[in-house]
Amino acid sequence: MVDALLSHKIKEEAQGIATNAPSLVLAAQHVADIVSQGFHGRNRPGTGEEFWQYRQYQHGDAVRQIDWRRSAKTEPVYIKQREWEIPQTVWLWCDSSPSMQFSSDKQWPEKRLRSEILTLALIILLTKAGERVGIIGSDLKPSAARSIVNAAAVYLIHQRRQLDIDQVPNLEKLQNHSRLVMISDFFFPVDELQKNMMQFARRGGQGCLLQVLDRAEENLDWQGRVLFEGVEDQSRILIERTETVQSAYRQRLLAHRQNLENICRLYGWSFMHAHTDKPAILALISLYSALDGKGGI
Amino acid sequence: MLGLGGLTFIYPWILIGLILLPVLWWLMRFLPPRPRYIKFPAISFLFGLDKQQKTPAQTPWWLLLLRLAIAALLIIGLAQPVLKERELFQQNGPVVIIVENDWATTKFWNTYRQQINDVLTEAEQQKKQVLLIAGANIQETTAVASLMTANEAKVLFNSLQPQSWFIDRKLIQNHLDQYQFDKPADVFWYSNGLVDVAETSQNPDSLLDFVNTLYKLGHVHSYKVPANLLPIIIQKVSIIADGMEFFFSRLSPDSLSAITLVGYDIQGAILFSEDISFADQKQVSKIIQLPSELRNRLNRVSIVGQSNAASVFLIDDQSKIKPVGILSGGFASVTQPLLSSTYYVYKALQPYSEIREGQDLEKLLERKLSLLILIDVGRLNPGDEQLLTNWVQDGGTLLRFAGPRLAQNSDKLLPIRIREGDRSLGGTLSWSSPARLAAFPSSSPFQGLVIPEDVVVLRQVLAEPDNQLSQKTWARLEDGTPLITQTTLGKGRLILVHTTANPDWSNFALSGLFVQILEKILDLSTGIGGIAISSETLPPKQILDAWGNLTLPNSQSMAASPSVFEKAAVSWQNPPGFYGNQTAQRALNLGKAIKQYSSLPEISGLKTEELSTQPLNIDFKPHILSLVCLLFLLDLLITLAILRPSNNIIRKTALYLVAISFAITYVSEKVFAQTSGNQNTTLDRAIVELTKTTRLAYIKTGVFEVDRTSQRGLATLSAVVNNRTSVVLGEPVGIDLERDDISLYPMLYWPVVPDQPIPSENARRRLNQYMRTGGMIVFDTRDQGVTAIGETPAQQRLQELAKGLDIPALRMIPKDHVLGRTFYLLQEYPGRWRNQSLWVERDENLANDGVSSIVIGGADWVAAWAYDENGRPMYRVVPGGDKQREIAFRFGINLVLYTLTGQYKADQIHVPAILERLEKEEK
Repeated sequence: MVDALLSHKIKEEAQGIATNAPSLVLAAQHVADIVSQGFHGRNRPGTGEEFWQYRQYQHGDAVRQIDWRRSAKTEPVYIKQREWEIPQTVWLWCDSSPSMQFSSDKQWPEKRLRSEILTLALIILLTKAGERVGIIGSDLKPSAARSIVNAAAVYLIHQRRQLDIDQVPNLEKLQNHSRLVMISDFFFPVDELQKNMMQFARRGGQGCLLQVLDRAEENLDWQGRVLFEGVEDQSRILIERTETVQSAYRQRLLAHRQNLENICRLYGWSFMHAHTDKPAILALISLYSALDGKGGI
Repeated sequence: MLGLGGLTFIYPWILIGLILLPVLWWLMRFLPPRPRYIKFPAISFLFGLDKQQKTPAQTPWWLLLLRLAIAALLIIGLAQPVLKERELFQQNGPVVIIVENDWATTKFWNTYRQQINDVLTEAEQQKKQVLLIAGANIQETTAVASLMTANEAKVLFNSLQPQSWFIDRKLIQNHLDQYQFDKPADVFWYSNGLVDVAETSQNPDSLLDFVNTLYKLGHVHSYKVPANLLPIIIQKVSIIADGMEFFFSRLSPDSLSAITLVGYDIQGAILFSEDISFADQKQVSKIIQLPSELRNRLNRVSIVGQSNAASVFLIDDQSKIKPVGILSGGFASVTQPLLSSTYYVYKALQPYSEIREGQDLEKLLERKLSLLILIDVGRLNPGDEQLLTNWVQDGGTLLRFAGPRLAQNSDKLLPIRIREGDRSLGGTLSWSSPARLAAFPSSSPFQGLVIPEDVVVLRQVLAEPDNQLSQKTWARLEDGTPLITQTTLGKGRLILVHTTANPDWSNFALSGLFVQILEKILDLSTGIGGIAISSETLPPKQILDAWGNLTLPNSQSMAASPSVFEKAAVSWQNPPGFYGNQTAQRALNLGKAIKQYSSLPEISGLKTEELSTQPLNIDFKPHILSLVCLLFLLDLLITLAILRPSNNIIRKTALYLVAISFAITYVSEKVFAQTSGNQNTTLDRAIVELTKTTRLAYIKTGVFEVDRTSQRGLATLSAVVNNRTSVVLGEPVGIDLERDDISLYPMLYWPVVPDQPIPSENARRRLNQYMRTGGMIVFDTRDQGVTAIGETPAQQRLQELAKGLDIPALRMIPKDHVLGRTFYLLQEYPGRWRNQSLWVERDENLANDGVSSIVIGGADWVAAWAYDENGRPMYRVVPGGDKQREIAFRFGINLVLYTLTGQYKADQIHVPAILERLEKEEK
C-alpha cells in the first residue's frame, strides 16, 4: 500500500519534472546564449582534457607530451597541448524555500523561477567554459560535462517539492579552494549563514551572493489596509495604512542587505542583487563577470 | 403630501430615512474597509512597524460623499418627488370628465388620453371622486352612474375607444341633469370640436344650454381642439357615365388643403390614388375617370392620413355593378355551352356587371336591372309586353338580339319594324358574299371602335325602310343594311342587334368588338327602372371603427332596415359599415350622415385651454433612481480601481459584471418589449423545421426497445431510399399521438405492442382525418414469428386500437397490387419474418389517388431494416439471409414510393392485358 502510494508519488513527480525540466533548460539556454556571445573559452594551455593546439617541441617539454603521430608526418617534433583547466569546482546553491515562490504581479516571474533559470544559465556558461560545476544539496557529482545541465534542471524541479530543506546551505562538504555561488532572497537570519561562510572561507573558499527580490518586496508597493501573512509560517500582521510604514520597511530591508554586503566584503566575496521585473540577462552578466572577471574570484 | 414650493413628495414618510444618513456616515467612517490579503515573504521586516499609527485606513472622503449621496438620492427618489407645473383643480368637489369620444376625435385622441390620464392621476393623488362620461356611449337608457375612485375611472377610461358614430350633446345634457353634487365639481369637457349647424340654426342656444349645464356642476375646464386637426370627410360618391364623382368636405378652413384619395378593392389592393386640392373651399368635388372594371372592384375609398370613419367611404353593390338580366328564347345548353345563345353575352358582360339569367320576365324585373337583354325572343305575350314597355318607359334599356324566332315573329318592342324572314348572305343559294361591317356613323356611340377585318355577317333580319332608319342606326353593314338599330322609348331605350348573339348567323359574337359594343351599351344604360329595392333588413357584416378600419361587428351593432340606409341614420346600433347577407350588400356611410358641421365656436364666458401635451407634473422618481443606479455603478468601478483585488479573476469578473449591468439597464426595455411576441412563433418554427424535408414517422409505443428499433429501422430505410431513389427523406420522427401533429408526415409506421394505450378520442379523430386526407398508416403486429393458437396478443390489441378508427374494408394483398410495382417488382413482402400476409384497403381509395390509407402486416419490417449506429444489422432475419433483408428493403422503398407517388404505376399493370386484347382483336 505504502509502496503503491510512494510509487504513485514518484510517478507524479517524474511527470512534473519531465514536463517542466526541458522548458526550464530552454529558458536558461536562451539567456545563456545571449550572454555567451560576449565570452569565450579560457584559451590558455593547461592540463584539461580538451585538445587546444600543437606546438613545436622546445627544450624542457616533457617527452610524454610529444604527439608522435603528428611528429611523424613532418620534420619538427610537435607536442600536443591541452587546454588549461583548474581543478576547483564552482558550487551553486539555488534557494527553493517557499518564500521564493512569490510574485506580486502576474507579469513578473516568481523569484524561484528566476533563480532557477539563472542557476541553469550559469551552469551552461560554466560548462561551456570548461569549468566543473556542482550543485549543493544534490547527489550529482561535480562535472564539466554538458549533461549536468539537464541533471541540474531535474534536481531543481524535484527540489521544488521538498519543503523540509535546510534554509541555510551546508558548506562543509565543499572542497577547499572551491568557488561558491548562492542565489536566494536571503530572507533568513544571517547568523548561521555567516558561520557557514566563515568556515568555508577559512578553507580558501571564494564566493558570490545574488539576492533576487520582487519589486513589491523592495518598496512595499501597497496602500491602505492590508493583512500580510507570512509564507513559511502562519504569522500575520494587519497594517492599517501600509503607505505609512513603507519607509521604515525599506530601511529595514536595506539594513539587512547592508549586513549581507558587509559579511561578503569581510571575506572578499562579492554581493549583488537583482529584481524579477528586470531581465534575467542583466543579473546573469553581472554574476558571470563577477565569477570570470576576477579570474576565479 | 408634503409640499416644498412646487416640489411635493408622494410618499413623504420615506424621507424619515434621511435621518439615518449621519449614522451611515459614522458607520462608513469608522468601520474600516475590508483589508486586502497578501501573502508576503518579507513579513519579518514588518513586525513592529505599525505601532505608531492606530487609526484605521479610511475610505477617501470623496468616496464617502459619493456613497452618502447615493443613499440620500435613493431615499429621496423612493419618496417620489413631483414638481407640480400648475394647480389643476379649482374646486373641492368631485371631478367630472366628459369626453366626446366620437369619430371626430381620432386625430387628437392620444392627446386626450394622455391629458385625461394626467387628470385622473392627479385626482388619485388628491383622493378625489370621479365621474367619467363617455359621450358616444351615452344613450337614453344609460343609468345614472355613481362616483368612483380615480383608479377605477382610470381603468374604465383606458378601456374606452372613440366610436364611429356621433355624440349627441342633447343626450349628454339630459344625462348630466340627473347629477347633483354636495360640493362644486371640477368639470373637464373634452369636446370633439364640432357643432351641428343644422341643430344650432334650429335652436341657436343649444350649445349655450349645454355649457350652462356644465356650469351648474361647478368649474368648467374646456379644451380647445386645434382647428387644423378637425376631420376632412367624404360626403358623397355618385356614379357618372364613365367614372365616379367624389364630394369632399373639410370641417375647418384650417385643415389641410391638399389631400390624397386612395381607392381600394376588397382585398385592400390600391386601385387608384388621386390628389385633391381644396384651394380655400370648404367643399370640393372631384370626378375620377374609372374603367368599369376598376369601378366594379372598388370596395372603399379613403383620404390618406385622415383616419376617421367619415374619411372612408364604402362602396356597395348598389353603386357599382349594373345588374343585367338575360332572357333567352332558345335553350341554354349545358353540354355544349359554345353553341348556347346566351354564352357569349354572358362572357362579355360578366366582368362588368351582375348577370341574372332567367326565363320568367316578371321575376327578372322584380329586382333592379339597368339592362335587359332578350336573345332571340319572338313575340312576347301581351302581359309581358306591357310590363316590359312600362319598364323601358321608366328608364330601362332593352337590348335584343335577332334569331330565327324573332325573324318569324316580332312584336312592337323593337326600334324599327322588321321584315318577316331573314336574309342570308353568301350561302349556297345566294350570289352575294358575306357582308362586312361598315364604319360607324358619326351619331353612333360606337364611333372610334376599331372594326376587325374578319367580322362577317352571314344572316341578318332586315328593317322595313323608314325615313328615320338612318338616324336610328348605330351600325350597318357595308351594303348599307343596318346591323344595330335603336330608339328611345319614354325615359328608356330599345336596341336591336340584327344578328344572333352566338356564331349561328355571324362571327360577330366571337370578336372583341362584340365585347366593346356591349360594354358601351351597358355604360349608356344608366337609368335603372327597378320596381322595388330590397326591402330586407340586413345584418352587419363588417363595421368601421372610429379610425376608419373595417372590423367585425360587435355585439351592440344590429341589423339595419332599408330606411336606415335611405337616411344614412348612423347610430350606436347601426355603426357605419357593410351590411348584408349572401344575396345583398349595402354600405352605410358616415360621411353621408354628416349634413353640415362646423368647428365649435367661441362660447362667451367659457375660457378654453389649449390642448398641450405637457405633463401636469414632473415625476423625478425614475430620473433619480436611474441616477442612483449610475452612481452605484460608478462607485463599483472606483472601488475596483482603487482597491485592486489581488485576484485577477475576481477583478475581471467584477468589471465584466459592471459592463453587463450597464448594458442590461440600457437594453432591458427593448428586451422586455420583444419577449412577448416570441413564443407564438416557436411552434411555427418547429413545424417549418420538421417540414423542410419529407420525413417518415413512427408511433412511439413507450417500449424502449420497440421505439429504438422503429427509429433505427426508419432511419436506415430513409438512408437507403435516399441512396437508391430520387426521394430525399430527412431523419424519421417519433410521434406521440396525443401531442404531435401527424398531418406533417406522409406515412406513419405503427408497431403494435400488446400493452399499448388506446389513443384518446381526440387522437382518434386526428388519425381518421389523417387517413381521409391522404395519409397512410402501416400497422405492424410484429408477430408473424410467434406461433399462437388463434389471435396473438398484438392482433387483439390491434383490434382494440382499430375500434375507434375508420378502417375501410380490407383484403389480402392481391398478386398484382401496385405496392409490388412502385419501384421494385416484388412477389413477396418479407420483413424480419417471411410468412407473408399483408392486408390493404379493398376498394381503391379515390380520394387518396388510389393509395390504400392503411397497410396491415406482421412481418416486423423495421427490425429487418434497422441497422445500429455502427452500420450493423440489429436483428437477424428469419429464416434469414442477406437476400431476405434486401427484399425487405425493397419492400420499404416500394412502400415509401407508394405513399409519395400514389397509384400511377398501376397503369402499367394493365399493359400486358391491353396488349393481349389488342392482339385478339387483330385476329
